[in-house]
Amino acid sequence: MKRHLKLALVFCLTAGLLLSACSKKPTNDTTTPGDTKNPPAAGQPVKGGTYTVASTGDASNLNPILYQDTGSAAIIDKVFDSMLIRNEKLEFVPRLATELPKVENNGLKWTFKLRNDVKWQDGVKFTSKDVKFTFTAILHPGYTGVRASGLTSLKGADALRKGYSATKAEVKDNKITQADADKKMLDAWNAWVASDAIQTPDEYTVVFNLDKVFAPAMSNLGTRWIIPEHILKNQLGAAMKDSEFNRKPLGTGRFSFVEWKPGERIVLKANDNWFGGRPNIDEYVLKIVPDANTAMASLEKGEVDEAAIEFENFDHFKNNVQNVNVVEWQGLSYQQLTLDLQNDFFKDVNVRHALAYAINKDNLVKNLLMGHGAAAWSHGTPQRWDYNPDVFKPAYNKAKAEELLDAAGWKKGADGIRAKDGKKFAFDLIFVNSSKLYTEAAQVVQSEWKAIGIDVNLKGVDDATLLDLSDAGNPDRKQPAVYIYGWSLGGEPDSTSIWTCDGSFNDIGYCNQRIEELMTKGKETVDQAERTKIYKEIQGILAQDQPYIWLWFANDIVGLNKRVKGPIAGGPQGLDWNIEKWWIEPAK
Amino acid sequence: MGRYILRRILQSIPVLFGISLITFLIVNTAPGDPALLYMDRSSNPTQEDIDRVREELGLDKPLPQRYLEWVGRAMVGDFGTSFKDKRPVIDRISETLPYSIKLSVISIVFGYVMAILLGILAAVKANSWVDYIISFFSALFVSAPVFWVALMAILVFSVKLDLLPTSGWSDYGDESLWNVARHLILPVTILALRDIAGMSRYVRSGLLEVLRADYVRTARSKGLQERVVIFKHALRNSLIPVVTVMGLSLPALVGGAVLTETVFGLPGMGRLAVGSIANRDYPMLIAINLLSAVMVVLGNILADAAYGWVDPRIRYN
Repeated sequence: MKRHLKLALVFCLTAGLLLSACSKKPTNDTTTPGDTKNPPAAGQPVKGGTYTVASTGDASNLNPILYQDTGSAAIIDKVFDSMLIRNEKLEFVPRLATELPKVENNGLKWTFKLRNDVKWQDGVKFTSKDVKFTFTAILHPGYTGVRASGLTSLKGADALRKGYSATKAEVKDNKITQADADKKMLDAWNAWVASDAIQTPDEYTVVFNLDKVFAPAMSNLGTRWIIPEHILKNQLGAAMKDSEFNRKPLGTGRFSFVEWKPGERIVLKANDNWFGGRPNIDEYVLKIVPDANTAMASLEKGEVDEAAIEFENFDHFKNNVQNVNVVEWQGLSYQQLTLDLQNDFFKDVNVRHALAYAINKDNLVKNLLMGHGAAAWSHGTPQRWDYNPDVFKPAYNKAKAEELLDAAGWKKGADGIRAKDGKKFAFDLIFVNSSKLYTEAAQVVQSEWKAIGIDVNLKGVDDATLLDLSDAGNPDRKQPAVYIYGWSLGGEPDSTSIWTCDGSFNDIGYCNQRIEELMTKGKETVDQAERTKIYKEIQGILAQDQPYIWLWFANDIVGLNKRVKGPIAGGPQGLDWNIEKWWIEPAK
Repeated sequence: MGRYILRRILQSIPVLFGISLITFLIVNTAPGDPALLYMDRSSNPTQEDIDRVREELGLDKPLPQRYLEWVGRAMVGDFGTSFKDKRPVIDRISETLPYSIKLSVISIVFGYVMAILLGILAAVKANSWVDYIISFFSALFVSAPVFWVALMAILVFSVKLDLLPTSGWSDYGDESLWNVARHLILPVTILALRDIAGMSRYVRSGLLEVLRADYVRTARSKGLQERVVIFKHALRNSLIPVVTVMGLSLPALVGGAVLTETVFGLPGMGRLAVGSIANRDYPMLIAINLLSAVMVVLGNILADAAYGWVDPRIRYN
């Protein structure tokens, strides 16, 4: 008896100790999205300090024409410059260029005038040669990145690339040797470089000539980070893949590269000679903290100046943490339920509407995002100039959903599950299970669809598997399925690859002739008013067709240590697009 | 003994080949296409771009050809290029391995020393309240999920008590040994807890058994101090299971600490291995798996050799 008593006593003591370490439950605070808490911009900028950011992901490749992930982009953005950048309203403003480009011949000729006071971080003068080099490097036959298809509108570029494909096919068919093919492709490239596709009439002027009008050119040409010709000129094509430059970049940008300890941190330091004025902050340290909870603990403790805050912790940081400002803004990514239109279940538009009416988006935003977001209704964001607020909005209406399904011939069986022609309305709901948000959303959607008589089987998989399963070319894709996924929107509204019948990211077989026409027209005019009309109509048609059931735009929430001051506000361009204007207040 | 070890090593070579083949097959037939993963969706790539990426990653060649090419290169030490970093796999592994080895070795040494001391304490004071406390905490730390314990430790010792840093291997700007030591205190303790919990039970029961033996009674009756009896006579014989299990924990050096590494932000092999799975980084995955297999084989050989060395009753030829 005594033995057990002692054991129980010890257990209670330790349990008590452990529980006391837990913090209080946070109060329930509803917040309106878009509520930013700006630290006062008043006060004079002070030079100095090390700014540390906690990031969950590492970079992979710091070369602007080879990178493929957002982790790398965050660093590249600070080390390199582009001719234009977008400001907080997504408007183009000049950076390496002196002004917005001159657009002539109805969008066939783009002339950029460059600044004459820019130096590479090793002191060499920046000229138009570097700009031309960046673009020709992407179209080099040995180029291993994924950016070439964005340049096909340049004069002769499409023909050049088609030539490469043909030559490669000849090698496969053993018509010519690899060596001969390489020479042939290199000759073609050299001829193209010498052509008038990209002209540099003087050191500070670049002219791009296009085959056909391509409205996204402003973005494609203008916001591309420029690489140094004097460093990379002998590393074109396949050689660039293994270049040291990818790990030790050198640009014209606000910060220069110091060190990269893979898995640990990346360190940058302020570029004293940046043409826009040296950033106030001395050093920028990206600390890799893979676990979101650890990152938030670091922020609370003051070990890092910036970290992402998860929805559940918003209240804690807003109310209980004294040394942190919380900045919140609507993100540019939406999440959706992707309906596989290739399957008979989802071919009827009324059925798709019914499925949409059964989802309560407001509840999802309130309970899953804890109010930190807004419902989404089509492929467009309120933060961009082409937003159409008047699209078909199937707001939650369970009765209407059931009515539409009944009318479509899906009658409820004895077990409550609808059936038609002997087939039950049952399918898989596939989502990425490493995301708590997606997992919760899947469960809510499953119960909402169960309520209208649809049997949904949850299938949580990892990212790569989901991409694989949803790939249109995958022969295993015979089962009807709905996928929870998301898209990131950008400053440029063109979404050809997602919505056109042959779009490389159109995995659901969505095909609408009017959309085809509009997508083409949208790229063929540079007139903003015209384009706005076109993209608004696209959003309207997409909402009416409901190939996706759009769910929400989630807010981005970031915590900043109170010592960080400046014109800080989150927006469609993210948070630190103007980091050169921020400063760190020295400790009192 | 030397011939025995040599024979074991030679026997393990076909095993390693077999493991590499099985790993290759599993990795390449699992769902998930690396080419799709490595596309930058915002740049609107075409099907042609996707195919070119597939070609660049070497995924367009037939499976047997790819395996044979891999073996050919592996024999000369070239384990291919990482899909994610586009750098030689060997480079990435040799960058990461030192961190994992340091972390694991320190944890194992600390863990085993503590385990032996606590096990002795528990055995010597068997069935007393000291024994109960040690048993209770052993059970607790074996059952509690590692990431929870780690996060709690960070919250308590780092945030609330402000005694230690939250994460990372060292602070930027301060690479001193003391700084690294401060960063490693929490992760090493947490990694060692599991070993301590398990191993102390082994030591306790082994020692209890030995303490009942005749030769121990003889030693005591000779008038030797209890300390000498335990440490000089009894302990060595009770450590036989400990020594053998130590060899078997060699594979844990590679990838065993992934949760601790993730929570504490340590750039170790565990994170690299798990990350390669999510990233479908085939060359990296296969190389890490092979490394793990080598460690398992080595660990087994070491354990058997150690067993033969520690216990004079065992003879190998």
